[in-house]
Amino acid sequence: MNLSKPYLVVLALLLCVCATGCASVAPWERGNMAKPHMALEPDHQRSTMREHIHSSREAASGENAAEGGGCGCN
Amino acid sequence: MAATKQKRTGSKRKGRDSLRALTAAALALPGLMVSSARAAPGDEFSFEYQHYQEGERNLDGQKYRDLNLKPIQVDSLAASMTGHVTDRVNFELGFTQDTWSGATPVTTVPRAAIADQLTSGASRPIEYFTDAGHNPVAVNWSTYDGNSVQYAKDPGLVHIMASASPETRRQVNLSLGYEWDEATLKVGGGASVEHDYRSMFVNTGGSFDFDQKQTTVSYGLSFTHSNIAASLEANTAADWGNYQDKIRITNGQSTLYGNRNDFAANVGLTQILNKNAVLEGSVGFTRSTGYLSNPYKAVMLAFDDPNQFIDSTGLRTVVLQGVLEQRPTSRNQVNADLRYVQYIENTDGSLHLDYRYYDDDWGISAHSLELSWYQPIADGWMIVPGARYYTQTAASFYQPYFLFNQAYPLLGPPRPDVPRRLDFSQLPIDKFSSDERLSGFGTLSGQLAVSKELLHGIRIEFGAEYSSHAGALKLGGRGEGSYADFSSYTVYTALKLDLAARAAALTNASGGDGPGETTDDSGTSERQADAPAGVHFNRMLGRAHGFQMTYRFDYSGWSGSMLHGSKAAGDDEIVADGCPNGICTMTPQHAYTHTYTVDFLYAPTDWMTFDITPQFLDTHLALRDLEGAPLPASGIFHPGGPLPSHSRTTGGLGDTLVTALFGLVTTDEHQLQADVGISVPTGSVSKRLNTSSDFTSYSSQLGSGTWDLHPSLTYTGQMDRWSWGAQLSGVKRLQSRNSAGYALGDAVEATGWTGRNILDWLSVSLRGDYISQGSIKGAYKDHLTPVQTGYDIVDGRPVPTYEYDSTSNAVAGPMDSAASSGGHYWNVGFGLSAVIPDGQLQGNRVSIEWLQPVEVNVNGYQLRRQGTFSMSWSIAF
Repeated sequence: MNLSKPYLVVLALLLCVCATGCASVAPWERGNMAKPHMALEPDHQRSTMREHIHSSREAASGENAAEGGGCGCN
Repeated sequence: MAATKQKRTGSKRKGRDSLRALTAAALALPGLMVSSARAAPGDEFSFEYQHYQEGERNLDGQKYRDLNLKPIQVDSLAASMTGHVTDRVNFELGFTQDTWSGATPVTTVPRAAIADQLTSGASRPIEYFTDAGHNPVAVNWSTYDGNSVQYAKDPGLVHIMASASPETRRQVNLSLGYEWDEATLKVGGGASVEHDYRSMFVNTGGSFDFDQKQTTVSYGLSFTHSNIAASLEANTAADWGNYQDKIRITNGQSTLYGNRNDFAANVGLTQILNKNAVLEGSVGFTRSTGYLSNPYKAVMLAFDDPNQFIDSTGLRTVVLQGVLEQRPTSRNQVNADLRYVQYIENTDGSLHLDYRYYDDDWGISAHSLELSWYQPIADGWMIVPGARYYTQTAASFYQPYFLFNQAYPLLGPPRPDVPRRLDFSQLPIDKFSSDERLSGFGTLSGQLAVSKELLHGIRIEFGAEYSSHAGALKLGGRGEGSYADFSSYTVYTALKLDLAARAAALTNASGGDGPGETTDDSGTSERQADAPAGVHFNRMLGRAHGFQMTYRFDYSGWSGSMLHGSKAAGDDEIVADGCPNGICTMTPQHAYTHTYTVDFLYAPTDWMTFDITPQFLDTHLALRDLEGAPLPASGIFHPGGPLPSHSRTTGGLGDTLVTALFGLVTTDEHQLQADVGISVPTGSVSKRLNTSSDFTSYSSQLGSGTWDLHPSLTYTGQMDRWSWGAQLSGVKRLQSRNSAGYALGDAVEATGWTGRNILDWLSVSLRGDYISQGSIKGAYKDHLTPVQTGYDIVDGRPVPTYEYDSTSNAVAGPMDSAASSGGHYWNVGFGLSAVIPDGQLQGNRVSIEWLQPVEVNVNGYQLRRQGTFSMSWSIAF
């Protein structure tokens, strides 16, 4: 593992985004944000079931790697 | 009864409900909802069925059919519920199960080794030949003249496939959460159980909101402990010397025991960028230690002895040895995720972009990029097209096979009476895997989901995804060869109930009254007691455009002695008499069936209700060898256990029942209802034994295979705290044979019950039940079995030839005999039924029942039935 990898870039990018200041969005301006399809993960169960198939065919595990899922040995 | 109670507490409830209605109305104005960047899950019940199917892989021209193989498929079911115990305390309860069946690669060999296996008649690849330049070659030995032989260069690789016996995995998880104004905390845990792998996990996570919830910081921690106990009987060709300390004999089988720990942590930052965009970034770290290998994957070691004797043909011999793969015992993994969601004003749609980077100290780094578009259409429709690209590099210790420029390192002096053993200490490497999932490849997939909101927060969704996995799709090229390419598809259907939306809708519809009274208005539910959970009865809705959903679960178990008629049968009796036209060698030891059904009831008119009932089930049957029977081919007597040949598991979609419900008499005290149902044969009757063309046991098939008529007549009555009822029902097969050659017997059931309310919300029931089930008509038809007849030389390479012989279905025991099915059963049922008095689930009915056999008289030889547990949950809209 090499620490100069893109995940640090991701963090740095995020910090930059916030440091440069995001437009202030008042609570009453968040109607669009409140729509179900604007959620970061609109359907948790669907994501979990897809992830289970991916993790049994691909080497990269998701962030919930340590939350069950079974062997996936086949 | 409950209705009276409601009137008593009416004024208090009305006040609370009005407040709830106001709150709900306020929440409906989106501007007033202070939406956090990372919102807590809504209160929802969700049920999903998923089918994953892989396509056939390229086995160097050999057909799956010739090898009695099927590509792998997975049938999964998931149910989850999220809700609030109080305003601030929430919970999440989840259940998942998957049934796996079919073949996957166990290892990879040079194609030339298969050519040698064909021409030498060996039972497995043991060697291959190369020319002087070390190029693998296929040798045409029929041209050998004592001095020279014709051969052709034969580069390339091919998978060796193995078909694990089908198994079902189950997982439960539970978490509890607390919500402060600007923070959340969650703790949870669960377990995943399959026959060879058990995991327990705990996790915690939380979030902190800042800047009026424009910014959220979240974190998560989880820990999993897993135990592996894998039978190596299917992998006897491999040398297990590298795992001697982990292998013990269990149930007469060599079993590899291992355990592993996984620890994961992540931290994320979610930021609302503007009123139409949100971004989340997170990093995670996972450390895994212990036995991290896959006990079912083998590695081919190839030894090209530099000092070997070269005869006049000039060919070199490379000796092959299969071993169990050996991965490192620790793995450090890092993840970085970036998610971006953009609202599109013009179309009211949203664009989701998800990039994930992965890196570990096994040498694997991976990128995945996913794009999806959520587009609402009119009338509650939504379509979601999407695409995903994934690419990974190979693990540093991955190779399709490992070639060593050395002689085969023998452990100890060679002995003719025992198989040769490999001296692992003389290998130049100590980490090796040929699991193609650790190779370099890419995956490209496209998906489409369509969903529709029916009414009051009920959403139904269908989706499909097609995926292409190929070495050539790896980013930067140099991926695995095309021999390892495959494609797959996934289809799923899901039902989601937004419990908060239902409560709000029903509150509004009844002008501020609670949902419980609304269901009362429909003339059903609380005033008229329902049948016990084990009776398949749904009261008609009695109100046009009413909707109700009932979720049922049934468990039936069989174990103990074998019965013949109503008496216990000994092994010698079963051996001699249990199998028509032959002797039995095996008999059932224990068995179970889980059935999950969802009843969707809709009333198009006041006088009729439709009920559509899809069914999902999984079955398991464990067999044992019969004492006194001829020894099985293995020569080893197995008293029982998870030996692949002694276990039969199936799972997937069952038959679908479509029923019309008619109310004949409806008074306050007495009701009479006639149902006419047609069972549509959506369940499979072509499930076969693992790596065989023989059909599995009759009771392991997932459907009847025939169109069936299901009539029933149900009477119910109630007075004061008492209720009672009776039902006469039957099943008439409308076809004499299904596609597999048989038809299940017709059935008649008569049942009667009485119930009493012991609390306002809780009642008990007692039921008597008689079932007469006819035996199976006909039998499994003859089928074609592939037999390898030899090989032809095509372009210098041997290609196996097959012919198909018509054979009758194998009968190993009473479970394979049509005569050993059906019988007469007398049962007693003990039930409990509760109507949820309060909260978002108000008016729901939850019932359970245990049905205990009292007297049985079976046809032929069958296992004793232990009983049936039933649970039903009804929710009206």
